[in-house]
Amino acid sequence: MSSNTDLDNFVGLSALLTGFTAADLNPPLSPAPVAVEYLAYMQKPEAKVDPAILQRLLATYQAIAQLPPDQQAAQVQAQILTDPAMGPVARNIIRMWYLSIWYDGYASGPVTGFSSGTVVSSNAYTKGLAWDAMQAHPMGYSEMHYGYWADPPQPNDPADGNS
Amino acid sequence: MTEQTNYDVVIVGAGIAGGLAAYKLAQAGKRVLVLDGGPGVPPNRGDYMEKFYLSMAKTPESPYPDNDQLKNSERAVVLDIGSWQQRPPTGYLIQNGPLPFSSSYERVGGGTTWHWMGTSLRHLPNDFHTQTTYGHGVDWPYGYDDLQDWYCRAEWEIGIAADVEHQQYHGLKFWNPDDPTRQQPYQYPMPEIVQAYQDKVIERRLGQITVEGQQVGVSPTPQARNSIPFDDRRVCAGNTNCIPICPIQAKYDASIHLGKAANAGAEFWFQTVVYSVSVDTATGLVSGVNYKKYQEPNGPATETGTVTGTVYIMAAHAIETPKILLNSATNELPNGVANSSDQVGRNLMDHPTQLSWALMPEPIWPFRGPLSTSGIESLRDGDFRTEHAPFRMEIGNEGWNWAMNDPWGSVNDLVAGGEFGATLRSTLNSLFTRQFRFGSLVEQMPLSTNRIVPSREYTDNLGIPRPEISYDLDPYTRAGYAAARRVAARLFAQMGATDFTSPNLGSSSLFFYEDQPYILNGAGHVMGTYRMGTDPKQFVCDADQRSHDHANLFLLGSGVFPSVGTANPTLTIAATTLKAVDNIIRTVLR
Repeated sequence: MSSNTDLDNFVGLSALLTGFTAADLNPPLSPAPVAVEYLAYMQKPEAKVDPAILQRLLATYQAIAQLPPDQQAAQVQAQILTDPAMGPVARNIIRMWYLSIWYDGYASGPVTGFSSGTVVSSNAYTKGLAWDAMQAHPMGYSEMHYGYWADPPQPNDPADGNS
Repeated sequence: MTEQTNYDVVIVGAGIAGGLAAYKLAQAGKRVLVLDGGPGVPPNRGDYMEKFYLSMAKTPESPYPDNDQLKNSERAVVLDIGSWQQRPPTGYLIQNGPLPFSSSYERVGGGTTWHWMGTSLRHLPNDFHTQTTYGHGVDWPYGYDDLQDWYCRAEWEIGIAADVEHQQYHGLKFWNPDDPTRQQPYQYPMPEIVQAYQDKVIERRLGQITVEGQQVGVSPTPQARNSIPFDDRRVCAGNTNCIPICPIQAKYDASIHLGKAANAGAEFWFQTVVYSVSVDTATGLVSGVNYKKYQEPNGPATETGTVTGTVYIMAAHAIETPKILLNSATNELPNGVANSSDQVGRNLMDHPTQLSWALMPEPIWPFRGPLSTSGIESLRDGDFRTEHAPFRMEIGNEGWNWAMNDPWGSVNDLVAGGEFGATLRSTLNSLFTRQFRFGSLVEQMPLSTNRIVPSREYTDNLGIPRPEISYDLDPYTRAGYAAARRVAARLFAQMGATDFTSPNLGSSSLFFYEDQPYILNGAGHVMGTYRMGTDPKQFVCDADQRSHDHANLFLLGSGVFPSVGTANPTLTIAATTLKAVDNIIRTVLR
């Protein structure tokens, strides 16, 4: 697995952090892969992510990925989320996947739904995972047809309601 | 100074009232000019959508130009409400309190219909004579039967989806407006919008229940959105985004009638800010409206001038219209124009909106479909109106989006609390799919001290005084707010839902009634301030919406409402506008 690219490691880590699969996060044939945008955004100066911490995060994940799948989440918790340097970055990655936002000041203070930040792109907005988690669609971006709202939605995940 | 003449009608404001008026007048062959302070309608809504997607706070104003991008046409925005006490003011409005006026509006072509919900209820028959029937509020100069035909015509102009059989409550009657015998049935132009799944769950869980002496029922809401193709516009795709912007214009907005008016020959001047009205003191007639034009959104005025016509129509909504009239004071008219009653700018009203939110015991899958498809109309009328204000309960279809800023709020709270991975996802699913809220729109009583005046201290980028507002809620309205909260809690209990409503005691919108705390929310309904009535000493305009003081000046919009009932105002704005303009065409300009 030493041939993993940064993107592979970012997507794999993101899957463990978000509860979605790597294929959900980076569909093989996606014309506008938001995973690429997110990783690129984190590497921009305005994201204020120390490149050394990002590399350590991806390397730590690569090691965790060698473990049996049922041990990986616990190791993400133990090695990454509780780490004073990597934990805040990892939590901001979760927020970014769910809400399409990179929050400022994530390392220094508490982040709330009213904190300042940047919507990474309009493409990212339409792919926020919060909307999938609620079995809906982004507000302002429906690909459904008239009247769909009269019936329960399809489950996106075995844990979802109506599954 | 330049002067433009020869218009039959000069209209100030290119929102739904000005747009409908311009269309009907131009269609009748009149030479019409419409002035609006903001930019015109963009060629497509893509730029507005992009700005919405990239906005951190998806407020009603978020798709449209920010105040610092458009200083010559600033307006009230909801993000300024929390800091209303600060001086110098952080926003466009100067708020004196004791409560903040909490509704916003747009100053762009098409006006506030860009971000209206589309809810198109009629006022109830009793809403037109609340003083006579209940001893509260102010009677209209006419009754429901006098407006019925105009409601029908407005519903066909705008395009309302509803079934008459579900709207016949509290004495509402419908008949074909072209039938003088009032016997022939009426049909809305489109079948009603399919109700959301959650509405059916709520109806089932409520079962038979009576509160405040009224049996509670869930009614499909008449809505200005397409259930079938109508007026060359598409069918609603359930974007759940009526506020702040419908991506596909399945929801009506006034840009429709601006286009129709232009096609019928009306002339439009955008980026033209009217700041005063001139009166010929010899005749008492309005002799012109005075404007400043600009080229750059934040630049200086590039032209100052006056336009003249035969008839003048103010349609700049219930804050800007009184601001302009009061800013027109002269030695001869020290109270301003149309203001011998001293009532211009007074009796500013909203529908203060009580939010109650809960978790349902089963998934109801909100955040799907239009933002609201049903409501509880049962408490809009009843004998209790002698004791407290009535209210309509909007059934929100966006979970805790308004109430708790979700999904942003809960995702951040859970992540900060250490949740991640599959647990985070399933917790969010369980939470978001069961979220529910009522938004109860309470009828606000008029208070003459609830007032907008042009500021003596603060001006806008063009040197025009900004609106300064004093605002409070009277005890009868507060009692209605408390009743709305009480009823919501009762209905949650009936449905087996867990009530999570909790007023933020640190909010600058906090108020009390009988020692209980409540948070004031605005409905976006700006009403009162130039009310109509027969007595020139008490009212600004007559039942034809003609100024009692100046025979060629007419006032449109929700500013003319003597009292405001519980219906969202836009449909009644449209109906009263069509009625007033028909009279202008038949008797004033014939």
